[in-house]
Amino acid sequence: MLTYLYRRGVGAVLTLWGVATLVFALLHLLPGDPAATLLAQSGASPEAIAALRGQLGLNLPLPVQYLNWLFHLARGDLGRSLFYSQPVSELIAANLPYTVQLALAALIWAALLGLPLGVLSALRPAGWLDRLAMASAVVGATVPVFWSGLLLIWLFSVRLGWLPSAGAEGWRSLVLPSLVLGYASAGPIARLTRATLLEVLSQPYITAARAKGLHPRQVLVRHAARNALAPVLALSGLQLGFLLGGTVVTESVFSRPGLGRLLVDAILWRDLPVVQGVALVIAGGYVLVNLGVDLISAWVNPQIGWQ
Amino acid sequence: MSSRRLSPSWQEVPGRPVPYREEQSPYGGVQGRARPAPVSLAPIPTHVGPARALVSRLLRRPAAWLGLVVLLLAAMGGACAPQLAGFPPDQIDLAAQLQAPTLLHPLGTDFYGRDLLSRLLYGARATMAVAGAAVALALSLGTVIGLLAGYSRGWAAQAWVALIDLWLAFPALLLALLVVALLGPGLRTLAMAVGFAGIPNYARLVRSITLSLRNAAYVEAAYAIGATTVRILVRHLLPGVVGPVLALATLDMGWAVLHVAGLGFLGLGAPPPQAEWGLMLYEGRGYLAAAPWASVVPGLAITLTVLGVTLLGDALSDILQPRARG
Repeated sequence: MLTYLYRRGVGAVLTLWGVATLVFALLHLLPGDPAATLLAQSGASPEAIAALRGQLGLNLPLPVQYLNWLFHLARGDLGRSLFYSQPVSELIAANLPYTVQLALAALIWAALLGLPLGVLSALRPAGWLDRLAMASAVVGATVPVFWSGLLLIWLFSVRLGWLPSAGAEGWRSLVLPSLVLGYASAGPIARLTRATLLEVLSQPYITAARAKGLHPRQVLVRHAARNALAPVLALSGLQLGFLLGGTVVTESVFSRPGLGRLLVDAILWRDLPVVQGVALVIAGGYVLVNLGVDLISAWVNPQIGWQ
Repeated sequence: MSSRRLSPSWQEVPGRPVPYREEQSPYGGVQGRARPAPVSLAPIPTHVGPARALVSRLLRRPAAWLGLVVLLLAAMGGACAPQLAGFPPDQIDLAAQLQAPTLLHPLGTDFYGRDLLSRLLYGARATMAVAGAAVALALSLGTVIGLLAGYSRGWAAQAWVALIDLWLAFPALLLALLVVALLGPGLRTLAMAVGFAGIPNYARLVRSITLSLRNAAYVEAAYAIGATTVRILVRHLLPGVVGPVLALATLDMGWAVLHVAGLGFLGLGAPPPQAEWGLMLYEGRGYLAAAPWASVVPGLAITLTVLGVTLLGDALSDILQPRARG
């Protein structure tokens, strides 16, 4: 088991290093000059632009910039934003909680919607509920988040005035964004729950449990659910990664602060250090979530892991 | 040529008992607990059959029909936009700002008084063309990378796998955003960004198929008679990959439309005067209270297109890779 942890840990660190390298490599092929872009509007002199380039270290050769970046990264230093004149790590720290909050709330919605629907569908396959649930799962994967979000804003904020359409104050402003995002990933959870539960329910030990006269609820909860849950758990973790990416769009729809908004604005303003930092945090979070999911699945179901 | 000769052995032949037929369902899955194992007497197809056989199997499914009709409507709307549209898509008419649907403007107008139906038709053009280009890019590069990754050995194979894994370690939207950050907004960038984000999915799929085909006797035979690597890859391994890749590409078209429109909605896709569905939503959201139709219309178009593609893609996956679905 320790070997497994060790190997997965080393793998994750290598992946994080690769992620950092890829982000750096992608963005340093930028044709534009961030210093010139930043100062162009203020009508700065070429000398001022050159000075800023020196200050940002953009004059150094690429390999030196890369090593510098890695060393600073290892110390948690992501550089300074060109736009906010604030360390990138502070910006990220200020925005990260909103994004994590949104992603977690969305995951709760997804589980609340997906798990019961999947279980009920599996209990009565081809019944009306099953058809309805699976059709709505397809719809959930089809409707773009940015459109369902607008529709809900129109209904609940504009017409009914029940919930705020923007901002991030209080739980009320979290309801709509997390519901929109959670619905999108409830579908896969419902489909997988249904599929694994159907498979588990067809196994001999379930027949045996039924044959010895157990109440159907007991068969479901004590016998079937345990085995059916492991893959669903793994998928939920993967969905959390997907949700981290999905927050980018959702935050824009609902004008919420967060990493996604920060990233989109930084791209529009060519705020290179912020783009780098946020991309790194999102991708790194995705890698770590996947690692955590693998470890939990291996722990829940010893058959899968430790090898 | 008779259809019998066209169809390979795995086609259902009259007289032979059909061991198992899937129930139709709107989402392409198979219903019922008592799903019989597909004990087919014929070998399971691993390559695309003749186009005619494929189409006839496809058209037996209502869901595929629906998807095909929706997709054809969108494609025709885009192709015939100049003939169908009542107005140029960027004709500004400030006297007709934010009008509700009327006979003159069947879907209403936006903030600049532009006719939404016309913009929708021209938008179909832009959105579908960009999404199609993105899928083509992802498919071709991903297939090449997958073939190389699956056929190479030793450290090269490991390097390919590491590259694909790294690529997959990024959320797709994030990758697309980074490419946009790199190249600046624009239709061409949009296609490249979404395509770039889609490459690793194909690479992974193609690699796994290539791995399973690599040791097949016919590939070894080709190697033994001295076929070059390129010839083995193109003539012997590529055909086995085409079917699953085609199914993935169909499903991916919906994914690509979602991402193209999503980037447009973020203001990082098509530049403003362009008629593109995501951009239309981006422009319409500011007037949600005054003109909800400006947001409803492009969103509905995106949703229906993606739904159509998904239904068609699900059906295609069912036919082309009967084993892959669980």
